[in-house]
Amino acid sequence: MHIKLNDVTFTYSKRRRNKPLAGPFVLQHLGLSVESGEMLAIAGKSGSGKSTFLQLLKGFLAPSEGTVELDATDPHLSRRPQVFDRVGFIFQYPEHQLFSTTVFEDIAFGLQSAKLTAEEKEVKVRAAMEAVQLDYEQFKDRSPFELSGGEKRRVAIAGVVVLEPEVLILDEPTAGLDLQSRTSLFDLLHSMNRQRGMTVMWVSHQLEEILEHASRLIALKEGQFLADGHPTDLLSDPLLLEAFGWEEPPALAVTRLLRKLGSVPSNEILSPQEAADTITKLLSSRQISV
Amino acid sequence: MIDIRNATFYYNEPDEEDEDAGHKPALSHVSLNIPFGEFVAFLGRNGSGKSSLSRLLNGIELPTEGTVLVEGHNTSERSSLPAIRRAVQIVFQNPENQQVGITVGEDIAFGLSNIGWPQEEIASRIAWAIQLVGLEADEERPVSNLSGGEKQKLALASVLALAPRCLILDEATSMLDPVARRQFVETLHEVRKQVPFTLIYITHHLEEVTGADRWVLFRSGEIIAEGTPAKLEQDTVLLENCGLELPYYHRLAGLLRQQGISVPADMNEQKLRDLLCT
Amino acid sequence: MSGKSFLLYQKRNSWLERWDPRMKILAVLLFGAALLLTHSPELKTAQLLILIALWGVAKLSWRVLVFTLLSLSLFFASTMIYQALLVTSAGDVMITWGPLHFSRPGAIKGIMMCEQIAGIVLLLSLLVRTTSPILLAEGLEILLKPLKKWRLPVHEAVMMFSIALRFLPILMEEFDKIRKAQLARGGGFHRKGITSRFSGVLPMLMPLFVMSILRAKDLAVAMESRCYQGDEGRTPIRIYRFRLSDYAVFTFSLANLLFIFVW
Repeated sequence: MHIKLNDVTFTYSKRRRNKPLAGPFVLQHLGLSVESGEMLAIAGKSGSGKSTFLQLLKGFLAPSEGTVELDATDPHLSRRPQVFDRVGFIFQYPEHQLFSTTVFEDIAFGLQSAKLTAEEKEVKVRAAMEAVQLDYEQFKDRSPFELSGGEKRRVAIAGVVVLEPEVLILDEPTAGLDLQSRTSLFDLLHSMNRQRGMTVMWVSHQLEEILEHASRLIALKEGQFLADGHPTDLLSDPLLLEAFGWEEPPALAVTRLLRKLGSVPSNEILSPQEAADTITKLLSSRQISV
Repeated sequence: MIDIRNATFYYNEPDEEDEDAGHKPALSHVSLNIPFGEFVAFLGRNGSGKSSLSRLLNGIELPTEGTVLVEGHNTSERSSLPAIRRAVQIVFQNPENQQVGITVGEDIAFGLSNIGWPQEEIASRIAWAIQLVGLEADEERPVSNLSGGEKQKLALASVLALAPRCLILDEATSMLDPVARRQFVETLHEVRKQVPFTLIYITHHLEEVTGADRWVLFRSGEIIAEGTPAKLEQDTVLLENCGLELPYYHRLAGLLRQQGISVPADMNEQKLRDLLCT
Repeated sequence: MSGKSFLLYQKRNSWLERWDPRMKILAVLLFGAALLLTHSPELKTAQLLILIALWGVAKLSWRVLVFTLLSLSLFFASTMIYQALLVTSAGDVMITWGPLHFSRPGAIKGIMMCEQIAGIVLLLSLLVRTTSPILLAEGLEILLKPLKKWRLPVHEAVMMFSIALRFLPILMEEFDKIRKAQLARGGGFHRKGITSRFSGVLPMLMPLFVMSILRAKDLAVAMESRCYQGDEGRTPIRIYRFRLSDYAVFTFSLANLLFIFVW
């Protein structure tokens, strides 16, 4: 699905007739085009308008000015809000929204309007659980409340994935998870991105996470896009880093340093292991030449 | 000041009639001694017992077996709870769930009025606490107007007003963005220079506790390792098992040391440059 | 974000905020009694107008006032109809509409009932919107102190009340989030109403319930950690000293009540 924002401005204050739009503006003149299959990270402080921006994409809010287009149609203007159904939205701490007595029922909740037979339902829930790497037989009858934090979150994600969205939007999906759960969550997002061509857009505070997983980064500040591009470029841009008070991720700094010394292929970010190997090689070759 | 002796803790008392193997303790046979003034980090995966232990330390939860002593007071004795609560204060993860007051001043006053401070002294203490954490807000400011970072600083001010001997931060930075997080941690260490206290820091982020005196690693309700960061940093497998990842430069430095290359302890970009360009 | 300013005390530095909470509570009781006891439509209207004027003095938003009254409109309408239909004698009939007879005294009675309801609601909103919950709680506690002699848990009840007030906006925000999240899961919010989309209210109430419990538990732990142990040895946050304005408010409310009887 192709997502396009044309000069979108948003304010919570109501529009008065024949008067210019009144502030305060949460979002101002946003333009954006997202192709299907992108892994797009969104960064910005709390209060920068991130959450409002995401809600526009799901149609929870309508732009005060400008348009949001999904596959070249404006769902608000053309009165086809069902287009927003193709966007999946996962709030922060989605496990708080679980309510059913079994994992199966919770995941199947979104399917009840679709008039499916029991078998069709089962096939879909099974596929969704597979997508989030939860064993169907093992988990389907368990109560979601007795699962671990990481498992609960996967159940909640499955509840959205079961609707087969073409775009998946997640608000800080790794908040509160430990290293292992974070890693497996991103494995999952990558595999859905690859296998189904699903666009994944997520809000993140962790620059390392963005660098490792995003193919594109949008940096939002005070309701405006300050930057839009490849994370490698943006996160080593001193001006941008300063504007956000960020520190350059060490992996980028080290890679840049070693590349300057002429020993790293371009378009590659070094892991600590690779960096250590490169440095060792560099130092030993020097010793030989001396 | 804190002495935990062979403490075992179940969130629900084990049922005598059906003692199935499925019921696991949140902590089993934990012993730990923390002297006054130490900066200790409790580390481990979600549900490894680190938060449960922190709750035993001020008597919110009581050990099912074993004893927890805080400055000689046993937490299981009801009469000593007021003294223990005054000595041990906690800042929690979600600032919204720990604020009682509507304004900054009211919130800081809450603890002080609970322990019966005279009103005039409460007023001056509020001003002191606000200044201590560098909160740019007067005491009349409504809590709802504060940003996430400011709310957490207020939580810090509110507990520091009680002059605790020991402060526990239970994932206190996890809901903050990186800039607010850095400011919070800086503030904390500034404050520690002015008023000494034992600091117990619970986190998933090792970069916040590289300056700790001691790391305590939890796994499935047990302490599986403890020692100085310098010592534990070398065991990356152990750290990974506990859901922890060393900061990039620490990992790089460790790997280089294995290759016999001497690197400075606190490596950064500049130091790496010096190493490579000399 | 938008729901936050609603329903709760916000600092506006108005004159009403500086009144002593104990006096305010007493004044609300006295004024409320007067409003209920008077049988004169003129007096009821006058009292309602005073309350509306106070709303302005308290620097509260007029939109909130209108909204508050509108939210009661259905209630007003049913009261009016009910009262108007109670015909006491045949001579009172004002309008006949099919089998229904509307009477003039009935209509006046209806208006007075509506004024009463509106007045009480305004009184309470004025109290809650101009008094910080902690002050309100402490004020209530001081006033209810005599009840402690009979071992009634005054302090605990008051504390619960004040915390419930504080958590209201947070819960409203939470509810909005849950609603959106479940809508996102249910496939879309554009199809006919929420209730027809969801079988029952369980998907909304269950998470809200769980969240409230979790939050309440967190808050209880945080309060306990900060040495909270009921009212034992607790100092009130403010020093309560009546000022001239407080006496004036009290005198006015009392005079108002007495005036009703004399009238």
